[in-house]
Amino acid sequence: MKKEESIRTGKPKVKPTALTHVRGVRCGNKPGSYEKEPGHQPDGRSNARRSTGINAEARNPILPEMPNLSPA
Amino acid sequence: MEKIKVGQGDLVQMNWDPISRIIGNLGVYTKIDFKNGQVGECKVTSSLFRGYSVFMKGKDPRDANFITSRICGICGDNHATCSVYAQNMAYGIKPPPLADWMVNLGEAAEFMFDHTLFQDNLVFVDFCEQMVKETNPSLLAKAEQTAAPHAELHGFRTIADIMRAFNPFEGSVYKEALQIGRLTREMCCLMEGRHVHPSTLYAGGVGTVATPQLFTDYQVRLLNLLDFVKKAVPLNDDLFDFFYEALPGYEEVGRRRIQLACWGSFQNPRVVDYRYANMNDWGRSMFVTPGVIVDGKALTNNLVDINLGMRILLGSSFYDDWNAEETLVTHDPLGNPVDQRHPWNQTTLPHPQKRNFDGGNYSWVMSPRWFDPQSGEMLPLETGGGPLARLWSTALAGLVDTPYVKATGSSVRIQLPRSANLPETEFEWKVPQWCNTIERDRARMYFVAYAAAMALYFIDQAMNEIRAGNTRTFTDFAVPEEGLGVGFHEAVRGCLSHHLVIRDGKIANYHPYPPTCWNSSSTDSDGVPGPMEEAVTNTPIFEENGQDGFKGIDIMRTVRSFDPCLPCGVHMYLGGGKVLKESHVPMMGMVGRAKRP
Amino acid sequence: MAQLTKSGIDEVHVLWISEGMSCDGDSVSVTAATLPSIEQIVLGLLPGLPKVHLHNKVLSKDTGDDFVAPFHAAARGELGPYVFVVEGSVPNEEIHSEGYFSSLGYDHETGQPITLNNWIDRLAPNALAVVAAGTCATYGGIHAMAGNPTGCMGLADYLGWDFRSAAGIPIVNVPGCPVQPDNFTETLLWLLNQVAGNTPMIPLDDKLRPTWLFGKTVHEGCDRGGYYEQGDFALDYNSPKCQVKIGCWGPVVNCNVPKRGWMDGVGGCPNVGGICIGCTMPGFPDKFMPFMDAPPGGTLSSDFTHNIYGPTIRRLRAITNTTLNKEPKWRHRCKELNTGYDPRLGAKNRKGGRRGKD
Repeated sequence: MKKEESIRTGKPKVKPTALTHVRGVRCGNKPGSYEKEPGHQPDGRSNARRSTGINAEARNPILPEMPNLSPA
Repeated sequence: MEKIKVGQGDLVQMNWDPISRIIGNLGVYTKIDFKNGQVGECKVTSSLFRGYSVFMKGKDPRDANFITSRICGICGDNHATCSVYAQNMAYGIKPPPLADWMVNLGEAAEFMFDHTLFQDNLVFVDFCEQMVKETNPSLLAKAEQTAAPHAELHGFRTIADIMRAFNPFEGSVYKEALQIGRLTREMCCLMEGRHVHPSTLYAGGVGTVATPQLFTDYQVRLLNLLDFVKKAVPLNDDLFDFFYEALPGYEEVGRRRIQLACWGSFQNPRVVDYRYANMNDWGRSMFVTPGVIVDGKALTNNLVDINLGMRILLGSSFYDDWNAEETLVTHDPLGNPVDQRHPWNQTTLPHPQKRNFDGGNYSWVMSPRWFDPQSGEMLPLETGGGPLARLWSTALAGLVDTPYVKATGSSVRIQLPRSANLPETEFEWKVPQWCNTIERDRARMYFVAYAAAMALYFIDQAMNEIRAGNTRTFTDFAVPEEGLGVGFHEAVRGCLSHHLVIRDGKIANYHPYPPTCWNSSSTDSDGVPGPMEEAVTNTPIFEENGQDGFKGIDIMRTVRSFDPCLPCGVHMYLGGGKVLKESHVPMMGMVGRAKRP
Repeated sequence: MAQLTKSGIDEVHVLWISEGMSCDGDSVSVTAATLPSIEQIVLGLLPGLPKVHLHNKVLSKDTGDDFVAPFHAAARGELGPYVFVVEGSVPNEEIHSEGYFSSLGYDHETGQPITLNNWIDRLAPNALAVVAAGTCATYGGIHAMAGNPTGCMGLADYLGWDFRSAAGIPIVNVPGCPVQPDNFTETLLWLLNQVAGNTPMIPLDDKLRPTWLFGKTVHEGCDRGGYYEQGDFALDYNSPKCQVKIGCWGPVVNCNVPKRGWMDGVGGCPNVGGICIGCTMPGFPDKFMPFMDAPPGGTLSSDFTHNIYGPTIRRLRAITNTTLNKEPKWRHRCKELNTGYDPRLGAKNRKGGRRGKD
């Protein structure tokens, strides 16, 4: 490719690769995060603790045939 | 169709810059043969450069869906979704099924919103009473006397009444469409957070919390728009059929050989695992079947074949060739060789220069083509504006079969249940004879019905997950040091692919190829013009205005039939990190924003 | 004909150029507004306002020269009062010697495109008000990311942050990527009222944003804030809880989307599970990337609530919540009334009957 400068560049004030993940910083996709969250079960279902920190056990449905659906 | 020789008749230069009622920048420069009522030549310019593939280089791959969404201000969520599909493949993950149903619901809402807004508020201004009065007054007079065949369904007595309903800001359907556009966008917001740039889409799934309330909120809105859809389809048909009858020969407007591309949409979470090795299977299980359709026949429905056939040609654009540059990907994950001209291997070497319409370079838009191994042709595929290719491919494949939608091999049957004012209704979109302006436009409203019918099915599936107590919507993942991914999806206006190469945990190469790149590609190195170039050239003129006061309405209708979305222009990856200047982009046919690397 | 407005400016043009380096997303977003809607403004359904002529390429009936004509007329001083709206990043056209990055229309003499910057130079000074729609036009936005080739910026960077319109109004920035629909039309409504003489100067903060829209942080308006206070955090995107540990910048971003939703209460960002990526802010996007990583400052206060304050307060609230979830003991079907019923309570010479047990 020709070297002629069709765009005048000066000294960069930033490195374009500066915006990537730094090891050790917590991220929301980190494997194992799901397992650490209270209220989220391995089979993809959940219980009331998913949505509340106040008396979650009492907010679970009372009969086994009821799906456990906690709020958004 | 015969090509007009330059010099036959007087060619008058007529320019329209900018084109309104589209998304993005587009200028159309034509030479009209008024004596013979034909377009002799057409070149299109675009006037914007942004540089996505340049500034995405070296960034975290997880940011790709957030960034690429901003490519487009009406279909950004299509880009975000496609990027997520590419990342899922590169990271080796599969979201929980519930997440894929929710993305399908969000995307269905997007189709319903965008097609309604584009057709009823943008396209139809070209067919409205005010415009027809200014361009074809005798046609309007005829329309006043012609009864609308489906008046009892949509309530408009004459064709002229239909035309009046689309007068901008005043027509009743124009105004109703603005409101439907809001209702459908609320549905998109429910699933994807906000519109146009989603907040809750991530690689690995969605952050939207799935509850009975979420799906009820969506479902009720969906049911509330059924009346509108049931009236819109026959309304559109009446108007388009009138054009064929009242203006014999109108089928030649915007017509070209049938060469359609559909990359498939709406994943089937029971089948998809996002692995390249199984892409044929899960591609064929999508609820819009991918396919390449040529001369009315499907050449393939296999996404692996579709992927391998993609070629980015030069010929009329301002680049040096990259055949001597690094081959980033020599073989796909199945061991098939990948061509140097494939997006995975594209290195863009821009070479700004003076434009030359006479056999030289005149555009910043490259020439995406599809290599057909059977015939050896490099096909200039189009999307027909999106819905035409989707319905055509789905109809022929005969695979899609839900309680509301059935592909029959020659048509698609769509059933909508009873709604507030109208009974259960069935529509059948039949494969048409031609690929032209009217058929591109006609398919659009049918696809709104298709998307609504699909949404009804997706809601059932999502609710079944909820009723079983399944609430997981996201799967965790780690970004690999090296990775390869491709996402195939349908943007509202057609085939969309995102090709991703990861090195050292960062983006090494990223090439979105949206539909407008295909539709508005330039004449390639074999001298084959791009789809829009071909469609506009030799379009017969039906407008009654002569040179003075000429609006070029038949050309405008053709341009808009492709649903041009110019911010989704070409994205080129620049190997050396140098940037090129943007320049004016006149070219044969419509062009996307010249994205200079 | 009777004057429509107090000021006597009875007609105003809105010249909207979306040909900045944009995705047209703000124009599209405005069609989603309902409070007010674009048709309410254009059809004159709001009292006391001048008649509005909107010139926006996405919606315009006119094409080509017909569409650009009013812009040329305004540049010549022949149009009448106008509000100038810019959408999209403003490129730096000084860094190259020929060509351009963005343009609208073309010069009929030279055949060359007219750059966006040229239009800004000619239209901004005489506009009654200059509005930047969306984060690209306000602060540069996505296209101004590190490594970008165009050197683009926001309108205030181009015109100067001290710029004043012909009516003495600073640039009005309505950021958002895209702009939240009603945030924009509501701002336009104030400006039209100001042009009509009904309102004082639009209140703007130090980044030129309407104060009543952007004066609060996302966190202050987010309905997940209660989880933060209770030290209950999402660790991945499955959780309905506060997302500050998984990428949400809410506590430090100025925006009202969680409070008003995306479309009149529907949707939004962290309130519905989408981490705030700071898209209204001058630092967007670089200072928020990579988006899915926890913001560096978030750990201090969130760890405090997570580990110390939160568990304690949750336990205390649980005790109270349990108590409040129990009905008082006097609601039963037994044959005696235990409600404390006493019809002569408060009377001076009350003989009194039996008092019920509490």
